Amino acid sequence: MGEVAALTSAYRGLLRVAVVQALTYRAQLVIWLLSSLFPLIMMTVWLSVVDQSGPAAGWDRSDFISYYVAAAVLFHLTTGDLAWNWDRDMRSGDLSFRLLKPVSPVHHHLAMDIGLVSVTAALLVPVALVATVVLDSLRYPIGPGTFVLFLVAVVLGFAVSFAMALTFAMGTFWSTQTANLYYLWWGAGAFLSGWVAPVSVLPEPLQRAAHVLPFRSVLGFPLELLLGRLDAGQIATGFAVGLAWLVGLIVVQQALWHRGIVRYQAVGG
Amino acid sequence: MSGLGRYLRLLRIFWANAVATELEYRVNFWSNAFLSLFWLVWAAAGIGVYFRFTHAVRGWTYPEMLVVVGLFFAINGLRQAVITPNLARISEYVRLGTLDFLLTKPVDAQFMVSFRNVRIYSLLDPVLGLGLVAAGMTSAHRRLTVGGAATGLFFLACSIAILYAVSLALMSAGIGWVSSEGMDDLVQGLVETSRLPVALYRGVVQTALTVVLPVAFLTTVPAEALLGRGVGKAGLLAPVVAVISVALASAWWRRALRSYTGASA
Repeated sequence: MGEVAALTSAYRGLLRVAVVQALTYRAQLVIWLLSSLFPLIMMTVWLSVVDQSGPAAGWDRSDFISYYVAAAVLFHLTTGDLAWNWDRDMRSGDLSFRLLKPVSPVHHHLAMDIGLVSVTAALLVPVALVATVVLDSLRYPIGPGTFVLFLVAVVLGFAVSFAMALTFAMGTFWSTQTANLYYLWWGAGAFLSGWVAPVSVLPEPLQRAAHVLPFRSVLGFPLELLLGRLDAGQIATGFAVGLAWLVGLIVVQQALWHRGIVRYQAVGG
Repeated sequence: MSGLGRYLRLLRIFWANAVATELEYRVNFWSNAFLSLFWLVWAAAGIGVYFRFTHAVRGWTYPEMLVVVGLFFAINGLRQAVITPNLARISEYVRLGTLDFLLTKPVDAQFMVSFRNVRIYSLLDPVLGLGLVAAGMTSAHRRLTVGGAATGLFFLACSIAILYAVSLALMSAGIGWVSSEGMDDLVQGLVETSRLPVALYRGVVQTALTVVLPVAFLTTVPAEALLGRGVGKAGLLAPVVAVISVALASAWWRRALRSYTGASA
């Protein structure tokens, strides 16, 4: 059997497991979705600000509502559990067990995240679509062409986010504090990704940083695309930045993987 | 030995044990301490973005809002230190039969399930949070009066009592329905909404957060007292809500225990 065929069949199995796993804990999934209120809290305050002092940096009520509602959904589609899961595997010794399998643990974790994201998408996207049709405030003024670009941007966002988490996960070969380090990275990135606020309402220096760092690819770039706020040049730059980071992160991750795996001494079982 | 003294001694033993365990992992402690400080700055900077466009949102200036964020940190830190490690274990207690074992001990079961475990490094959050409260007060040019401090602490105590009642109610539910997974996320969601003063929410949401869910009492009321803004009717309600919710939750807990038939039954 060819390598590609073997990997394809492995993925079919892994993905099925991932989807079943996500569905088994569906009550937990729903609670988790309900409890991620942060973007909606941020949105509420913007509405108060806009009511008082008029549009902020060209963003009016409907812009903020459309942005944060989409952000609440999109966050779940581009962010997986890898950093957390990998750290747990390392501590529990499950990593040793996964390394014995014929498929790399990276594939296992990728399949897990894809499974989680697919189930979440199946839950959230229909709700979001209905809300968009029913509510006047939700406005996504784009044509089919831009919509396809948006979908591509979402996939790219997932890939960049996964690559970031995976690169950090390689740190577990050297340090036990990797998960905390990743939280720091994520926290710093939350400002530049558009999670806290749309990138274009941030102070100028932060905006400039956001446009060259990887975080905006994960959230802000697809969102701005969906809101129809980007021209052709900005779209091209956005994709280029995201792709460049994706390639760069994969190169670094591969290098760390080969060094780390040599160093690796099993912890626990 | 008096009842209360005995419980305080038990608490000291449990928590001293937790401190000893934590000190074994010193790097972990420092790394978590740094992370706590980081999230505090993060929360303070996050709401700063609004004030690029306005001086005050619904009557709350940036320094005043920092007082609320500081209190949110304090409350949330207590949640992570005391509520999370205990609440998360309830379904495990039921599944493994540990609860039967706890019930046979000559100590109140509610005390045991509520306070047996503690995550020491999360106790740093309340300290940092109160630091942010002090910073916010200073830059809002509000002198802390004795009266303000006293009422502030009183309302903070009410808010802790309310939060405890919510978690105890969920623990009772955990005994009945077996799975307590995700319950901590629910408490977190509730506490998360207290990140900002309730005045910033609008219409139905604001009413819901005051009347249906006791979020207004968690941070907004204590902050208003500290800032000397006058707490209004909510001030009278806070102790009432605190007492009633703790009483209701305790009653529910006892009912849940009565209907509990043991792991092996």
